[in-house]
Amino acid sequence: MRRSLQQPPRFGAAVVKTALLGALLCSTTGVRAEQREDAKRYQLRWVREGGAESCVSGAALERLLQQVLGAKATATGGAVVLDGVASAAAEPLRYTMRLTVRDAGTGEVMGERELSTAEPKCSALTPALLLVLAMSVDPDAGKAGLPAAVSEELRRGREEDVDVWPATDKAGTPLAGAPDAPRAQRTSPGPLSSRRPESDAARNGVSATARSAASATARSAASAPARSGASMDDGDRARDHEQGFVRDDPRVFGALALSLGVFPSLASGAELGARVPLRRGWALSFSVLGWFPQIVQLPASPYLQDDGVQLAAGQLGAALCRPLLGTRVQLGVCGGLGAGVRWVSALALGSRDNPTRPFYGPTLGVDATYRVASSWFLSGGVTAQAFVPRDRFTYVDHLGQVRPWFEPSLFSGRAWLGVGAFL
Amino acid sequence: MSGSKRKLGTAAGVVVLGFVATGCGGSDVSAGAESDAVNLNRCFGADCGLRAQSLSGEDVLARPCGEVEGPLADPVVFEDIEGGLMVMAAVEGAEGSVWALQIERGLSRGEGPLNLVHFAADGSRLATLEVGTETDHTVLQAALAVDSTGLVTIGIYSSYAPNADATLTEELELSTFDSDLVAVGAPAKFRGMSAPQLLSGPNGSIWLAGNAAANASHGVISRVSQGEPDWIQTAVPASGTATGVSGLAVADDGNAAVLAGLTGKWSGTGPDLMKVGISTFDVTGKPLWTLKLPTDYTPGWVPALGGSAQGDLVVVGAVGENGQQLLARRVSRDGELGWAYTIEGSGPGVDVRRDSGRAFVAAFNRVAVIDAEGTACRQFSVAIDEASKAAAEPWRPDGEYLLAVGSGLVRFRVPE
Repeated sequence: MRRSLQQPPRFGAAVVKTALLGALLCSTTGVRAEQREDAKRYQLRWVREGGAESCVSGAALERLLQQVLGAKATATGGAVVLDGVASAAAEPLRYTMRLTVRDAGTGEVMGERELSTAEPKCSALTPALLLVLAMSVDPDAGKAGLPAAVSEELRRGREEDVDVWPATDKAGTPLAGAPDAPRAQRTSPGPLSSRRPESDAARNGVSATARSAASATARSAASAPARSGASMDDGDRARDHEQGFVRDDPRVFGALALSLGVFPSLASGAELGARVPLRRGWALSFSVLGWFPQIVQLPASPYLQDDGVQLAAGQLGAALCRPLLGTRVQLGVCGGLGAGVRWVSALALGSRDNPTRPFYGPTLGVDATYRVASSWFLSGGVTAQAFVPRDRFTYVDHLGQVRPWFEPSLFSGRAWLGVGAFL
Repeated sequence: MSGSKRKLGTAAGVVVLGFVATGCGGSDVSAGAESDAVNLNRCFGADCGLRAQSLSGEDVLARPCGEVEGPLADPVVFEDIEGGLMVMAAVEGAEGSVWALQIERGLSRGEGPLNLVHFAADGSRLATLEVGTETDHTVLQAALAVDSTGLVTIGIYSSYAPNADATLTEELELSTFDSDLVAVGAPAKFRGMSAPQLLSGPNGSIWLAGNAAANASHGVISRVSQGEPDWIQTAVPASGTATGVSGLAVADDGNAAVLAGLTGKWSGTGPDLMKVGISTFDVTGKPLWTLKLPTDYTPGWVPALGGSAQGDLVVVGAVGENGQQLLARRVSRDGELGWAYTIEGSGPGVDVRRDSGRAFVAAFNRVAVIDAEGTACRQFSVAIDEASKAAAEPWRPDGEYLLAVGSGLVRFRVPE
């Protein structure tokens, strides 16, 4: 399936052609104002292939480019024809955009460019796409970054998970120029505003490689939204992508867990944690896990004060994690250490020692992360853990005999489901 | 980065030290110890959530008991010890022997020892054993039961608190002795019952009923075998604010009945009134039925309960202004109200002969004798004079006797 917005080229206009070539080859040479006005005339052809339907639509791209350049695409004529195709990319990437700049008169290829991203949302490429296209028409366009209204619209579109924007309202008024009041009150910083260096990189890249067909994959990957708080910079990520590592984003998460072997019967608990990416695809995960108190029934006896004793536990964990495959649904493994304590409230006993006992042990688990949106995810997994020391919990009955009531197994397993947010 | 490595190293060091300190082998971790006393506040071995059938019945018009016919026969005064005596409980044993729990010597100073005494049929003392609890404990209640094998079980409730801020230590201790007063097994301790009702039942078991101290919201009944409870039933309707559990009867088939005061009733203008209820349980502790008696009893007088071997019951309580009249009524083992008599006198007490079903109702210095069918109520005076003592005949196996306890222990034969 193809969706396209095609505007036939206008033939002729040698002056415009000359100006465009001059602008592309030497962006710093002076060009007269009237020549510039002519040079800003362009045609736009935009195609989204199957699998890339979530990329920016042709109507939206035309409107946004008009805001950046201050000139509307023409159906015919102009200096250049901007030809773009968005398509799905092979793993680990998600989307690729191939851009070609042609002379409107001769059809000669003046420059080629390819943008790609591993981001789950194609809209991550939209800012770079706009800059590349705008600078192909006017080398001075976007020197100071994208116009604020465009940036705001792009930011809003990403926050609201909108990939295909409406072009205009029914009256034909551009929607992006004047954001409505409630949306304008959003205070969280837009992705572009915190990514000025990346925008610059993209802009410089266009200037330097406008006539080359070299792949811009690495730079495009670097232009993916940066996430604050990460221990690896964008260069690290780019290198990881180049080397085939699956990226692991910094995140916080909470989960509910069911465990066997921690308590005498199935135990439930809650976990909070954070994961920090390291180099070469590794990540470090920290968590605090608390098991909800459980009543352990003691053998029926008329000498008891209550039905049983209460057992609870909590532990801190640290693990090295490595995503193995997938982007939107990502599978990975984690291995590390857990250390915690079990504590007992001997409700049923006449004299209560209420002991607290530490435990330690290695952990090994597999997990899956499903990126529901760019900012949050669902996750689940199973983890096996060994417990030492091998304690035996006991009590003394009314005859003075020592009776065991719980002997933790050496290995325990837990399954968990959670939700989290990317940082 | 180097700082992070140092922290990571420190954490690893802590983990390693933990391993070293605790080892991998582990050890026994004690959570504590069971109490050394049976907890009577907690259900055990019985279905305590089961609701008993609630019965009600038409009140029966009470007839007045007959006039005093004469004194009880053949009075025997049991051997006493000079210096004061108070009998807390007494029960007939085999061959006319009598077991008694009594405080002897030093009673006037309030510190006499509590003795278990075994008397022969002629009133002579066979053996005495001091069974008092720790000296700083206050003995509040004592009960006594003799089972079919001739073993006697005593229950002594005592409490102790060194000062007003300390937690009160209260305990009911059951001890079993043979006919020579040699202890059988170790004493069994119970907590959660302050006024024990103790009866022997079939197969050598002991039934225990009562209330916990301090406004217990329910009573408790338990069957005890060889010092260990077979079951503990806590679903015993009883008010702990005034009169709690005050009577216990056990039939030969193991069905037990508990008499207890229920919530008192105060009109705001007239005298306070008390309601009394009966709850029954089978041999496994399962609730059978409950019955709230229709009579308004006079508070301040503790109602009494007696039962026959078949499980039929007789309830005696004080009625009228100041409780100077007694009402004795029969309740069948199925909870139906039977005959009722009013008896002039105070101090309700009743003893129902297990075989004949005759009820002996104590009314201060008189005894009313009512046959099982309730066809007649005869009264006899309790009088001891030297002539009657001298003319008393020895104990007869076919006679029916009554033990009168107070500042002394006296046995009378009830005329046929």
